[in-house]
Amino acid sequence: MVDAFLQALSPYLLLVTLAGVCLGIFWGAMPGLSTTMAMMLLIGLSVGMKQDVALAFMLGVYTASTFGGAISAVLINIPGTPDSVPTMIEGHTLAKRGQGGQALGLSITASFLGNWIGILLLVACMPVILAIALQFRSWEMFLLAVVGISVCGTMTSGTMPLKGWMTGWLGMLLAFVGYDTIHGVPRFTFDIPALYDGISYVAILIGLFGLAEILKVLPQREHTAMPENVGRAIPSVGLLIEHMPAALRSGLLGTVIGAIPGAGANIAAFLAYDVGRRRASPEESAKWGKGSFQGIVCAEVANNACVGGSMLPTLTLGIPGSAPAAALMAALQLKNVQLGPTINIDQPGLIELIYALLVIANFLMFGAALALIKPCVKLFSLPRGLLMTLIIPICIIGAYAVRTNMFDVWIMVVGGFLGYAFYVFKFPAAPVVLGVILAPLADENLRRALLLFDNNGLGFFAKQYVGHVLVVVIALVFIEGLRRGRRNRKLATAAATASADAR
Amino acid sequence: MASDEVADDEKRVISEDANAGLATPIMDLTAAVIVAVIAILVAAESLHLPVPGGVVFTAPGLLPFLTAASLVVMAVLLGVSAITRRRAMPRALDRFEIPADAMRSLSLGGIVVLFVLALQVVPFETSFNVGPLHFYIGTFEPVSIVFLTGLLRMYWRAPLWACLTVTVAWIAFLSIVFRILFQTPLP
Repeated sequence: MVDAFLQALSPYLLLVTLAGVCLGIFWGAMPGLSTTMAMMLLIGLSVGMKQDVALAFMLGVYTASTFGGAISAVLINIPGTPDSVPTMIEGHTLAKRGQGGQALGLSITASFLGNWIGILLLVACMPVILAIALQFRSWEMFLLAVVGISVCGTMTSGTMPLKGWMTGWLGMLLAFVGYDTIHGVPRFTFDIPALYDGISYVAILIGLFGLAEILKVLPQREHTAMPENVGRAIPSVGLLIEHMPAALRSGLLGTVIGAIPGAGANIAAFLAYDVGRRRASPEESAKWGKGSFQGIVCAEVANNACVGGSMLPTLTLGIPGSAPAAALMAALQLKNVQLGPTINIDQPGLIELIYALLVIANFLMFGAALALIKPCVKLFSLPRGLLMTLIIPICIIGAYAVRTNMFDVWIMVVGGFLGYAFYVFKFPAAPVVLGVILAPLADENLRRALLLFDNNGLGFFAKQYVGHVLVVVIALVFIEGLRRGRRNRKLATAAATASADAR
Repeated sequence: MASDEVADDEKRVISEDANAGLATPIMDLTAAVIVAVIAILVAAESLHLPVPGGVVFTAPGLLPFLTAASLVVMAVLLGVSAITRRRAMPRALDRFEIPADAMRSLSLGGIVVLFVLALQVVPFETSFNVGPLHFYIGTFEPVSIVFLTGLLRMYWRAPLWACLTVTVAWIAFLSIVFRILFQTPLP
């Protein structure tokens, strides 16, 4: 661990982490630019970086952009990232009363604490999960991949989980293109040589989350207001201590939610905010929605704790805990690093380096956040038409850089149109990420498990206790999702009929 | 009005993607048909894949077939759900809800396609020295400058000289960072 900290504290890595943190704060603060988009663009750009440099930069961006959304949420009433909506509700009300500096200061300290809770729980749970994960065989790994994609589908498509599963399954189909890993048989290549190596998932992800966002946001007419009086951001430890029980509860909630595939900062922030409101004292509860400091604490601690939480399944099981974590995993795969149960054997010291970088990024975020609030405010005056346009060549470079061919750039463009179609037809895009990343794992392990079954008969399945649990989990996810979809369908139909009758 | 009420109901569920959920029945039905067609084609193609050694359990088309087949089932469920909703609601409310800026988005997409096409077909290559430094310029730089200046003029609406200055500075920065610092080839 000491070695990892010494490596992370080397001047070059420190500088790279700081650069990532500063970029993350700016990125998160700019409305329309999301954490996921930043991380997806960075996959392609990290190709030219060394492994530790890429990790430092991406973890810096991930840690800081989650907080960055709070700046625009408090100051201009526009959430920089979707998870900062609860912070916007409370923080902007406070800003209008001249307490914007205090609200921002509290957001910074709450984010700092949230990151700490996430990191500590990550460090505490890692050995336990790794020990369990090492017992997993082919059948369990296959089921785990299916669990990851299905849960992600459910979590990203609240009223209609079916749509989330469909995009996850479509992602799997995309990953099947190219030579099969066991027999070397070309699948769905249609004699096109460029498809023999498969579809570059990096290009797909950049298209889905980079170009698609640009197609959505750039043509919109913008109405960005400038904050009148920012005041000085005061990191208020006293206020945080006052709301410590709520902070700890939200941190725990955020970490657990971060560890669930597909559920990330958005669900964590909203859920912690909702639970906080229900559990607040009547006196505190009355302030909720009218400028509650506790509301800010709940949301900011929870969405930042997600960062550490999302790293848990990513590192131990190779199942991304969130879309940004999937981007980090994809970037590491490009460096031939396979995350999963054997990470400590295959990549000794990597986990410790990630811990060290997360801790350092958190400290740097705390300092940089205080220093960068005023420059961020100036950035709000930059037109979206300028910023979003300048991202287009980054999408192209990112898609091209991985395999240096133009075919991947075309794949990125197709991914962009696909992402836009998902947006219009109200399908979530995040499950595609899990589908694309986990399909090879599922494919290889299913066939291996079936081969073992062929040799050992039914006795093979009888011994798969963890597998039985996972089958039950999958069944429950699907049953709950279908019931939820049916309930919401009825609600929507009833609402539409009632409104038509009223007319 | 109707969409407001539907939206109110949808707000009860916390979801990671706020936009995802129920679309109008006609849109869900269209999506279901498209997905079903794709899935059926993939399932059919999976069955045509060779089975080395005749062992079905390790067949390369096994999981693709299972995935495509289950996707067909999901598409059917979505289609049935859309038809049920379609029957229960007035036809006037069941229409394609296209975002207000869809045409602008599509034209932007068209420009991006032309941009990428130009990167692929325009042959350009030159290099020069500035003191001890060797600079290489490929297709990426001139093509990006032309398209980005045009896009900035359209969406930023600043004077042409400002758009050109910003573009040249940005492309020069990207070119130096990737070609020289990261040694990453550009198109």
